[in-house]
Amino acid sequence: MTHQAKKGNRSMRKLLAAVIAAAIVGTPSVAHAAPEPTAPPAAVKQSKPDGTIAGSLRAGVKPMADRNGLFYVYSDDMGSDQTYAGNSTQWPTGWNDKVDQLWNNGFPGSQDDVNIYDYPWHVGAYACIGNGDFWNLREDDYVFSWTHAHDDSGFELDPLWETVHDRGTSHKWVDWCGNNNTL
Amino acid sequence: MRAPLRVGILVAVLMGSGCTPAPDKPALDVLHRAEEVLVRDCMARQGFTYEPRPRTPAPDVERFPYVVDDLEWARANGYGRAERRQLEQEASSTASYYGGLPKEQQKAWLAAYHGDRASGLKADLPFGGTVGHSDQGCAARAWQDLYGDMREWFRVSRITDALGQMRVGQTSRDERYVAARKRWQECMSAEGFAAGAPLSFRIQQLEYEGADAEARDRAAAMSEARCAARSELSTVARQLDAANASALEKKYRAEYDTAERLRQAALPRARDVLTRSSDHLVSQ
Repeated sequence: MTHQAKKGNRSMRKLLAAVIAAAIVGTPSVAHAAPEPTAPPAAVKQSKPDGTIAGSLRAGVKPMADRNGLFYVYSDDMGSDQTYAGNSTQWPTGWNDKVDQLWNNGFPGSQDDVNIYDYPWHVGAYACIGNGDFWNLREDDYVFSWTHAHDDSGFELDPLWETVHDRGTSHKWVDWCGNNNTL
Repeated sequence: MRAPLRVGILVAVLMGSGCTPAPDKPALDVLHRAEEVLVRDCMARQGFTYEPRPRTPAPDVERFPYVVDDLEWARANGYGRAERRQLEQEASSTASYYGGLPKEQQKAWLAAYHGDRASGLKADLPFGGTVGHSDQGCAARAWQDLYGDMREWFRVSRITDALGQMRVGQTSRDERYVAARKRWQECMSAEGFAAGAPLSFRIQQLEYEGADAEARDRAAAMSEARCAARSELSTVARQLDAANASALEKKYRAEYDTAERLRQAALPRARDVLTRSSDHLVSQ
């Protein structure tokens, strides 16, 4: 598959994820599996379709109070930050899939770390930036290091070990970095 | 989550595994309390309020990073809801104060605590990325005062924190763990609970806030503990975790040794800080 075809495929999957997520907003929470924390890079997991994403999506739509403090998402293309006191289910055009820097300037306390997801609605593999930390993504060295797995989702959306640079799409404040996706 | 909590989770697992020398928990508590006092004093010098916080908002995760496997603890504590609530209350005073500040003052408070956006401190993470952090705020100043070298402390503490995450990831993806988790799921189903994975099941239970929440917690947690034994998930997780911890410690020996050396050197300073401050923050 060519790079262009892969990119188009991924865009379609992101769009589909957003559509499905929008369709199930407001549905009651159901049992869902934990995200699966990742193995070291030697155990690269390839994307593959299997299941539905409903469980994962429901885990991500829990209403959250606004954070005190801000999470900064910077895009070179736009030359500016998006700043968030709360969660975002999808960054706007120009930052979505275009992120170059992240800064967690959140208030230290509960839910002061931030998960960054490859897909809208906090779906797919994710990386986590700690409170006070700054990431320059331009070297393509940060990767999505955690992922959902073994749930009943039917749509494999985890680009594990793909770079966060120009791929991040949504974020959520969490209590700690690691196996925390449903918090 | 600040570094001491991350270290605490690491320590909990390593101590449970029984295979890797790890910093003892009382020492970590002393270091954490001293760091919090140093941050408080630094913030006060800039005209801001900061009250020392507990080391972790979720001690149950420290105790049981994979599955609740202590039946008696589960019988007494459920999933630790009461303890979480108490710790949340202890941590709420600074948040309330901060929430009442005008927006510009909130920005100034954050700048005083975190510093600026520049990355004066850096650490190359074992799974990629060079994480940066300001060296200008009260958080970094407290690391300098306590550990004597904020740059080295930031570097090795971030790396060993990340290794703790890697270890949990390695364990959870191991096919032996996955097989045991499936047996655990079947056992939980037989007990009347639809559980995907232990931690998400715990989170799901804690999200319920009805009047009977604690009673429901205890019932679920006790089933979880029984199933952890029957399925051998507890044993498998501990064995794999110990093996993975040992392998990572061998590979990153220098970072672990440096972190421990800095902690040991910081302990006398930490005790001195606490003595002088007469602070009595409840340790975790």
